[in-house]
Amino acid sequence: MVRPLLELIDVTKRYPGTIANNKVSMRVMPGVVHAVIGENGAGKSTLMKIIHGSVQPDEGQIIWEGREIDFASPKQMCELGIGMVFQHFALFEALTVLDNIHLSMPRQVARSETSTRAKEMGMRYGLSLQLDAVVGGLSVGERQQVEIVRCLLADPQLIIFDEPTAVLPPHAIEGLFQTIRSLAAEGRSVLYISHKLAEIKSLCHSATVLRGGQVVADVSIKSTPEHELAVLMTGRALPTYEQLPRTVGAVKLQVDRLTSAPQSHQELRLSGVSFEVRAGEILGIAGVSGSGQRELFDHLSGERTSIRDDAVRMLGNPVGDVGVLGRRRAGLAYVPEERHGHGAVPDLTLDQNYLLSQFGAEAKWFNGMGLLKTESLRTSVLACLRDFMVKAPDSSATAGSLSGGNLQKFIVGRELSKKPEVLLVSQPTWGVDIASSLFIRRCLVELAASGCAVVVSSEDVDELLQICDRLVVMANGRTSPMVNASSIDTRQLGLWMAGMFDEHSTPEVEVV
Amino acid sequence: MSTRSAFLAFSLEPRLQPSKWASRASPLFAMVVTAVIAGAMFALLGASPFKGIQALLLSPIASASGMAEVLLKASPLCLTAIGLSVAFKANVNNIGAEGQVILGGIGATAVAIHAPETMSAWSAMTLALLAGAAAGGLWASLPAWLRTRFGVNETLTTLLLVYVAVQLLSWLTTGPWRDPQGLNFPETTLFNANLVLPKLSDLGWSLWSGTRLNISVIFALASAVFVHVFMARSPMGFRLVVSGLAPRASAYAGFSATTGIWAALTISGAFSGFAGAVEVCGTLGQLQAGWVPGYGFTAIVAAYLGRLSSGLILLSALLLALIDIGSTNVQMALGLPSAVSALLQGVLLLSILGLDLLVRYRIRRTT
Repeated sequence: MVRPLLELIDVTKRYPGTIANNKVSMRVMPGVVHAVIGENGAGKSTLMKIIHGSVQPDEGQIIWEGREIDFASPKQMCELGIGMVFQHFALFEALTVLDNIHLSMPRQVARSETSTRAKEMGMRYGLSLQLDAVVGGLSVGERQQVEIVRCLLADPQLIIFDEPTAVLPPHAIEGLFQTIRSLAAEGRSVLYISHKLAEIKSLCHSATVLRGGQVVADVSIKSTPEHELAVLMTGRALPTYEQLPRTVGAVKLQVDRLTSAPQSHQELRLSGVSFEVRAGEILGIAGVSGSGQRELFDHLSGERTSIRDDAVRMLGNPVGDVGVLGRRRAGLAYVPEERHGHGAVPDLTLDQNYLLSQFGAEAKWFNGMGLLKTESLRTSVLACLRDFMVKAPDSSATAGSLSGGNLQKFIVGRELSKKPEVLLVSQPTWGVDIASSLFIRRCLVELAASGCAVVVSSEDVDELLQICDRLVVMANGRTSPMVNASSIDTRQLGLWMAGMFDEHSTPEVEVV
Repeated sequence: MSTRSAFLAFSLEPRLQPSKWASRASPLFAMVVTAVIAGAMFALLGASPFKGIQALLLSPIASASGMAEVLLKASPLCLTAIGLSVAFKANVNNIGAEGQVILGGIGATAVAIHAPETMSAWSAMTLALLAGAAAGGLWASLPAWLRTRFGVNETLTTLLLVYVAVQLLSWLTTGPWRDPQGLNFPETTLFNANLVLPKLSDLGWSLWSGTRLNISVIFALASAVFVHVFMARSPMGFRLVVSGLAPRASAYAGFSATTGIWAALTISGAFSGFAGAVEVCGTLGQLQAGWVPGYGFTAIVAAYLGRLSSGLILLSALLLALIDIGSTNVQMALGLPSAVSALLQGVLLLSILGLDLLVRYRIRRTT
C-alpha cells in the first residue's frame, strides 16, 4: 500500500463562538488531485491555512510523509514541500514578473538563475511568462500564472489551489487544468479547493466533503454523480429550478454609448457601453471581475452621473445626469456587490439599514415634525424579514451580525419591497450559501415575470445562463453586442470575455 | 502540544459581539483606576492620598454653592461637547471648537453692546444667544467650504482658525469695542442687566439661592435631549451617522457628501458658539481680551468620554468639571501644582481608552 503524502488526524480549530474545523481527518495520496469541497463557511479555508502553516490548530496531528509535524510556520511548511496558490494574489504591482519571483527565492540564488529556472518552469507546464512585464499591466489569468510559477520554484510535493477559477475567464480555466494535470502526472499532489462541482468532476480524483467544519464524506470522484456531491455538500436535496413564463414588454432601461472619465488610476474608462433591458426580461452582464462592472453600476445607480442626460434612459426618460434620489423616484432599485459598507452598514440595525435605501421614494417614513416613524418602519422590516426568509433575531439586530446569505436576502428583500421598475443586481450570490443563492435567483426570476426589467452582473457564467434571457459581455470597459442566452456558445463567450468583440480589437488577456 | 503559549499566561481574545456590560462598566472602572493613580500621585508628592481624593472629588460637591460651580462649569462644556459629538459621529474632525466658542462670545457681545435700550430683556437675550450660535456656525462653515471646495483637511483648518479667533478677540477688545471708561483695560463695557442670563435663584429656585448658577444648565439639558432626538430620528441625523460609518453606503443611499460635511461643521460650530454666548452673557457679563474658554478643547475629551452619546456626555462633562474644580481645591488644600487637573483628565481618558479594549476583547487564560 502506498503511504499517504499528507495525513490529518482529528484536526480541530476553534474560534470564539464557532468551531471552524471539528476533528477533521483526511489523506492525500501522492500524484493525486484531491478536492476539498464545501459551501462558504464549511471550514475549507481554515483547513488549508492549517496545512499551509499560517494557522495553528488547537488539537490533532498533521503527518507528512509518515512523520508528525509539530505545527510549524509557513516557512517550515514550504521547506517540507507544501506550496499554496492563494485566491487573492500577493504580488507587487509596480515590479516586474521576474522581480516578483526573485523576491520569493532564497537570498543566495542569483537573479539570472531565477530567470532561467522560471523560464524552464514555464516551458514545462505550458505557462507563458513574460519575465520583464510589469505585474500591474497583467491580466488576472497571467498574474495567477506568476503565482503558480513562484510556488513551483520551491519544488513543492503538495500544491494547494484555493478556488483558483474564481477569478479566471472560462477560456483560461482549461489551461490551468492542463497545468494541474501535468503536475499530478509528475507525482506531485494537488489539493484543490472549490465549490464548483463541474470543475471537480473533470479535474479531481478524490474528494473530502466538509460541512459545518466536519468531514461528511470521503469520496472517489469517478463513482459519485454530481448531484450526489451537491447533496453531501449542502446536506439536503436542492430544490429544482422552474422557469416562469415571461412576456417581454417595452424597453425600461436603455444605455446608449455610456462613456466615463476615470476619477482615479484604479478605475477603468467606460467607453461606448450600450444595451437595453425590456420589461419582463433579465439581462446578464458577464465578464471577468474588474472589466468595468463596478464603474458601470455606479453610473446606472446614479452614484456617478454622466454629462449626457440621454446616456441612460429609464422608461424612456433621460436620467443620465440624475442622481441616486431621482432615479430611485423613477423606480430604480439596486443590490450592490459589496454588502458591508455599500449595500448595508454593518454597525447599524436592520431597521436603519432598511431606511438606507428609502430616501427619494415617498417620504412616508417621517411624520409631520420630520421625525422617523419607528413603529411603521419596524413593521415593514419585520415583514421583509419574514417574506424573504431572513434569519435574524429581531429588526434591531445589526446587519454585521447576519451571515452573508441572510444579509443578502435582506438586501434583496428590501429592494424588491419597493416594487421597482428596474432592478440592478451586482453579484447576487457572491459569498452566499447554496440554498440562499437559489432562493435569491428565484426571487429575481419572479420579479422579472411580474414585469420588472432586471440587470444582473455576475462572474459566474453558469448563474447567468440559468436565469438570464439575454447576455452582454464586458471587457476592458466596453460591452459586446447583446445575444440570447440560449444561443451563445462558450467559445465565443470566452473570446468576448477576452475583449475580442470583433476582428479589429486586441485581446485583453491571452487566450490559452 | 505547542510550547509557544506557555510563556503567555493570558491572552486577548476577540469577542463575538461587543460586550454591553463592559461598555457600560468601563467608564466606572476607569474612574476607579484614575482615583487609584491620583492617590498614588498624591502620596508620591508627600500628601495624604485620602485627603487628596477627598479634596479632589468630594469637596467640590459638599455644598450647594460648590455644586453650583460644578454645574456652571459643566454647562458650556456639555453644550460644546454635544455639538462636537454630531461632527464626530459623521467622522468630521472639528477640533477647533475653542475658536467657535470665542466667535460665539463675540457674536453675543455684538448684540449686547449694540442692542437698543428699549428692547425687551427677553428678545435682547434671545437675539444675543442666537447671534452667538450663528457666529460659531459661520466660523465653522469656513473649514466646511475649504474642505468641500478645495479638499483641505478640516482637522487642520478648524484648529488653525482657533488662533485667528484669538487674534480677532484681542483686536476687538483693544480696538473698536474697548470700554472708553475702562481704565484702558482690553475689555468691553459690562453688559446691561437685561443681557445677563437669569440666575436660577432669581427664578425662585430656593435651593440655589446665593449661588451663581444660571439657566445655562437648562440649555445644556435641553441640547442633550434635542441632539439625541435629532441623531436618532431625523433624516439629517441618520444621514450624518451613515456618512460617518460608511461613505459608500451614504452615496448608495443618495446622500451628498458635501451637504453632510457642511451640516456636521455648522451644527457643531453653532453649539460651540451658543456655549460661548452663554459664557459671555452668564458668568463674564463682558468680553475680555484675556478670555481663554479652554473647554473648546476639553469638550473633545468630554465627547469621546461620553462615547458620542448625548446622555453620557452630560455625565462626562459633569465629571470633567468636577475634576477641574476639585484640582483647584487640591491645589489650595494640599499645596500641589495646578497641572494636577490636566494630568488627571489625561489619566482618565487613557484609562477609558485602555479599558475600552475589554469591550471588544476578553482576557482568556491560556495554559
